[in-house]
Amino acid sequence: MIEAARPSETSPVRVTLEDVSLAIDGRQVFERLSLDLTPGHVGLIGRNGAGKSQLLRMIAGLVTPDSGQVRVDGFDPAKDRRRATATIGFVFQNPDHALLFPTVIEELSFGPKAQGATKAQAEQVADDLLVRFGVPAWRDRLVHSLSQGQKHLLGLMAACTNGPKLLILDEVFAGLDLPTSRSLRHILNGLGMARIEANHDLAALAGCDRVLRIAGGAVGDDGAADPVIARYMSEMEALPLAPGAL
Amino acid sequence: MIGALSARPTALHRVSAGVKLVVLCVFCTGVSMAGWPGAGWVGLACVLLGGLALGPWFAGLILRDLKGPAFIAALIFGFQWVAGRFDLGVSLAGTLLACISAAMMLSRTTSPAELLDVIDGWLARLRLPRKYRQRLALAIALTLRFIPAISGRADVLRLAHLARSPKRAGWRLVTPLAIGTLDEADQAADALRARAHIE
Amino acid sequence: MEKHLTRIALFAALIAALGLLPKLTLTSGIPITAQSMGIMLAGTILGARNGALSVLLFLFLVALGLPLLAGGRGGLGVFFGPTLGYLIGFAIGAYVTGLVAERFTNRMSFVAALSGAVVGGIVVVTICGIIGMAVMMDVSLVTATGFALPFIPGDLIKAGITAAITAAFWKARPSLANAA
Repeated sequence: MIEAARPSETSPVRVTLEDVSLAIDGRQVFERLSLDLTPGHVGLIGRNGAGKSQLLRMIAGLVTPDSGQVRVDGFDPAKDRRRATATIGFVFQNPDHALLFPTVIEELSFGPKAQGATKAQAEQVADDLLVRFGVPAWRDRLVHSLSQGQKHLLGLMAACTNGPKLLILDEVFAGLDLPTSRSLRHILNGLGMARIEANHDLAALAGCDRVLRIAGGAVGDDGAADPVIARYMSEMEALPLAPGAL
Repeated sequence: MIGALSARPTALHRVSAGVKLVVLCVFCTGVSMAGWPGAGWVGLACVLLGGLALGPWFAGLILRDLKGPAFIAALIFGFQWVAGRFDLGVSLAGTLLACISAAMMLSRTTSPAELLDVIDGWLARLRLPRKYRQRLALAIALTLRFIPAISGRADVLRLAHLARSPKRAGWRLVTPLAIGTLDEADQAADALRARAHIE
Repeated sequence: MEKHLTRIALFAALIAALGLLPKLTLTSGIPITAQSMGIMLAGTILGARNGALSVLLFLFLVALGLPLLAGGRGGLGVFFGPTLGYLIGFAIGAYVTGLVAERFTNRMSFVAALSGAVVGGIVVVTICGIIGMAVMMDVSLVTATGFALPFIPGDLIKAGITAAITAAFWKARPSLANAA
């Protein structure tokens, strides 16, 4: 039976990394990284190329580490894909790359169908989700015809179709105007799901219960949101403004 | 997925796609196997009369679809006539037009999605494993989703080229377009992997 | 798995999008449709198997009634004309294009792509086209060959462009040459 697309708020999800090493195209991104997370709302900060995206992808099981173990609630998300896609929702930075179907209803019924639901069951999940997000009129619209902000919301909804316990957000809602990104943020906060989120918009992470700073393939700083973000800000502001800093 | 489907409904829209496909197969086979040169033309007349019964506008739609094929049919007929095979020319041209008009009658009254459902059902009956049918449906959906995105990018590339070069872009666009398509495919693969377990 | 699937699907979309481009006119004044170049590119860039599958997917969508062939044609009707041989030839041609290119050490070099495009994209496609015309029009193979010949010069230009694009592609994404 397909779970309704609601977050389970009972047991918190636990994410552990043990001695994880990862190289991408010959570049060592992580070396023997260990982490133990129980989100809440965990924020990741760090400069471009620090490895935030790769860390999120490893947790979601989209990238397999070269050595070491990644566990989400005790299972390996890269090996047990069926369980991973049912437990973890991944929201990508750019919805133009992440939305895969011609119409909204196909987009939203895909996840449940791939988990084994019939077409009718899957469309029911999609319809419930459309109502829950307050956009039932989108049902038969072409994805291509949605505005950029609407595509971002649809990307978030697509990540929620399997009722995940954990949402992973990789630089989401970048490049949107203020009212749009604030509305999306408001919707996201209302979902009440455990979240791990990388973001350059530090204000978006101010409410996190834990923030990690990733630098040089390791955790450079770790703790409550305010002090970690403040230390990061002052360090970044001290950097010289020159092409060398890009 | 609209395609050739006529937005204005006819009685034929309501006939199931499977029935129409079978009738089309039988019709085309019958017309081509008939040993009499006029068979194609009789077939064509039947299709057009059928179209007329559905509404004069619909017959007009089918006639417009036959414009290109009519030119080819004329060529075939002319060529065979010159070669001294008048009967054969009549037969080939008639068969061609009859089959094309019948096929267009199906395409004009059947949504691609419905056609796909029928074909999927047939493949299931032929015991094609579910995972292959799933992949086919998924691939079709992905293609339809990305056609507007890719042609949209062609426009952006054309403008970017225009902004920096006095020459017309022409086929130079195809290189960045192809590279962009491959990159987009790999990003879509990531998104797909995050959303579902594909066997 | 996912990567094969999305590459096949998006190249089918590329072939369709190339059909929507206005006809490119070369400096010599010969108009060429970019779509048949898409067929060659599918073979040289995706390789034999995935390239052929992507062309088949494209043709399947045309058969379902989507107006994706250059000039906005689509529907089952296009499979009843004398050009049926060419349509079948597109899929086989993409496969042979990839197969020939894969014989070279670097399947995405200019020479490899050119050889593939000429053998698969021209010779194979044209042979299929000729057989198709001979059968559908009830003429001799020699006569049908006469119909096909005028298209060869344009095809040769397309093969050259395909090879140049593939080589440029290889420079931009070198790892792709090994992962066909």
